[in-house]
Amino acid sequence: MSVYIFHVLIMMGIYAILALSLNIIVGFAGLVSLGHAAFFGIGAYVSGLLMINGLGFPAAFFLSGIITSLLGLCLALPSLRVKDDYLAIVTLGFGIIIGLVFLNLEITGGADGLVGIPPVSLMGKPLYSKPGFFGLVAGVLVVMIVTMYTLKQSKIGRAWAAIRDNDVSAAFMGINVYGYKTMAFITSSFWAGLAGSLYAHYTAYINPHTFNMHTSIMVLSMVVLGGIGSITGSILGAVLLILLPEILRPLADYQDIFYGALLVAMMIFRPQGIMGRVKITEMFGRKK
Amino acid sequence: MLIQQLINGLVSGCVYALVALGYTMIFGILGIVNFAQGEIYMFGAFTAVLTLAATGNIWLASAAGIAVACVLGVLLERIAFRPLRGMHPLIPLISAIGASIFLSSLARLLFGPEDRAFPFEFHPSSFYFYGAQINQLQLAIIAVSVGLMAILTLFLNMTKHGKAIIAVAMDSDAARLSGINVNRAYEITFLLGSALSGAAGIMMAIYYNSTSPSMGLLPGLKGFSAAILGGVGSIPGAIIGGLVLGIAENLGAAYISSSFKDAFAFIALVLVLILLPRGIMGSRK
Amino acid sequence: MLQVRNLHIYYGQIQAVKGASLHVKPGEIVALIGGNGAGKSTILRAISGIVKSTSGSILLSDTEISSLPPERILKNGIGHVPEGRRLFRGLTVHDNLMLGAYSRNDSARIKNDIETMELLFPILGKRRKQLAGTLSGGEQQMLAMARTLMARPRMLLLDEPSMGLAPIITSQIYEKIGLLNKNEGLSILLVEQNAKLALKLAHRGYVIETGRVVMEGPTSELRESNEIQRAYLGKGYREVWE
Repeated sequence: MSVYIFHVLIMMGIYAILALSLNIIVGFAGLVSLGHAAFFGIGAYVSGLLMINGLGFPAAFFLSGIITSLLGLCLALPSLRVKDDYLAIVTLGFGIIIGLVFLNLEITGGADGLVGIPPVSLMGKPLYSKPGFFGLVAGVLVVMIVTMYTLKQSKIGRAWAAIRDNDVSAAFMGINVYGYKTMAFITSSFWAGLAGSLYAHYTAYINPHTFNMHTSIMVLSMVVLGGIGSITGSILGAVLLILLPEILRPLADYQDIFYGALLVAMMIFRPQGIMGRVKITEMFGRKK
Repeated sequence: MLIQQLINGLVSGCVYALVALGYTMIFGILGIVNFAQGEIYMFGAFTAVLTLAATGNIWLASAAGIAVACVLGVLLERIAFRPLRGMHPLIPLISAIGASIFLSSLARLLFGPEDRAFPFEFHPSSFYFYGAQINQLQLAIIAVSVGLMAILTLFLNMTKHGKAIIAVAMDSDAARLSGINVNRAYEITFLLGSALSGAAGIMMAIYYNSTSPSMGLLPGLKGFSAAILGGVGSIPGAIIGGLVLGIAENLGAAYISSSFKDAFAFIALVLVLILLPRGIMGSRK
Repeated sequence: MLQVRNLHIYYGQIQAVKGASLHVKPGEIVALIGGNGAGKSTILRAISGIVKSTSGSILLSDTEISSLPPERILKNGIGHVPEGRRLFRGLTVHDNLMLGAYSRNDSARIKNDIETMELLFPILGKRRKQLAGTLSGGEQQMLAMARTLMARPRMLLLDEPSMGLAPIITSQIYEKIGLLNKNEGLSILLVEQNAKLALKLAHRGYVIETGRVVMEGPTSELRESNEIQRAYLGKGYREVWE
């Protein structure tokens, strides 16, 4: 039983990191991405492939973040020429393209995915225990939360806030709008890559299916559900949306139906509903 | 070879255009993306298949498919979108995605997860045109699509209710002050968009002789891309976007790599958006 | 004819109207004057149903209309010409007029009314096939008024009809407003920043400040009031007191 609980906790932690990373784009900079699973996937594949080819864990972990952020840069440079819903569809398109790349490349194992990813090893010892792995995830999460709060208060965070509220007047204030938007994508994809790395080494097996559009949408739902721009909100959103399928598991075949219906219902009733009562998320919520 | 690919592209392009018209009208008037449109397409196809199996009448089956698509569209507007009007744009987006998950899993429960063949054997005769093989089914799909697009254009530009929809899309407050019931306009828009998607789904179910609960996903996304490609909110843009997408995808699959067939639509989209950020016909209000 | 009692309106957290009461008698022109952001336009928007009031009542011939949607209020006889004209710019002049008659089903009389509008505002007849967005400011204001009149209202809400117009065009528009009132017996509730103009045309007036009615009366009295002369008619202290 406790193994199961730690499994759920680990997934919550990984998805909380992923949701927080997306919140940098959506909540801090006021942009949108419907292709976030691509970054998650790139981090997972890069880290998995590096470790299969003999690299140690900490190195593979950090390299996966850095390589993912480079791809984030490559994605941001062209797509940030468009805004709003156009940006949403371009990122969605990128997500699908990257998913097809995972599916069709030889090195990623095609539809079968990547098997036999080595576990995390710290100081030469493989980390097999679930509580131990949870400790690692929690540690990364804490570092990320601290980074997020620091970012929010920093000059960069204020520039993002200005762009989010009105990018034209931000530009008149002398803020390099394009540069700061790109920076949001780079920072976000770095952390998404780290989440992917954790995921790959936790499950030891990844396939393209995990990194499809549905994952992108689920992560975005976590951010929106928790309150756009809210740090605690993204974490709560991740906890809730990971917990939901677990709670709905006894419904078996009806699980997805309920999941879909609940997403609709939560959007409709959100102001007074489940997350609405959590005032702290509203405090950070984007004012409309 | 080239002409063959162009014709194949034209057929799928017509279908993308029909789906794109729904996206573009709904976005134009409500500013929201109805992500569940691919599922409406799928339900239209399934209803037609089941009705055809029961009655053997293809016209009745098509009418039933389109009718179910319309009802679903109107219900969707009522339940998943109307309560969210005026909220942050991501909220209706996620609601739409929830509705899409709901409908596709409902279809899995109702119809089973596996592919179904169309219960009607078409033996279209084909002919050759500059070395390309064209069959009557392809011609029929192109003809029906063009007919539906013409009806839609005439409705929007020539009738009182059509013009009211355009007016709501331009300025919903001014439309209300002119006595236009905007909720009705939204409903008609959803109805029209869903009817077109349902018709597209039925035609594709016949064309590929298969229906499955996930059949709407890619046409839905590609229809959306086509709408963006053409410039969202623009009716001719959606049509051109659909055709460009269908042709680009078939040419890409034939000359570059068929395993990346689905990627070409999105590569074309990304390229066009980067070069023409407002879409091909783009002028947004 | 129209009675607004103790109206309160919130935009989110901000209260725009704080207990305003006013009335318009049949055949009367009533002006609401006051500075920017005083809540004048919001009152009009509440009467036509575009914004919902939080509390208070709006009675049209003793029927409560505050909970009705705009299209029903229009059917009951109140037409609203919004601030900034808000035309359907991508449609033709003729289309705009036809949309104004959207709530009506008597096509023969609609045709007749379009001819009447083209007599009242001859420029609209000349520009019939032109897109509304290509008209000049004055022409747009005329089209906006004609569009609303196509619904055959008994009462007209006019929001800043002179906005952005040259004085000569403004006086043409005001002349038409006066004609509509005199010849058709149309009741008019007029919001105007140009207080001098509004007080000249209207029979009665209300001065709105920060969401409240601070002064009211016949325009002849208001014109003489020192405060109004100073605050809205642009006379200096000395002029007023001497």
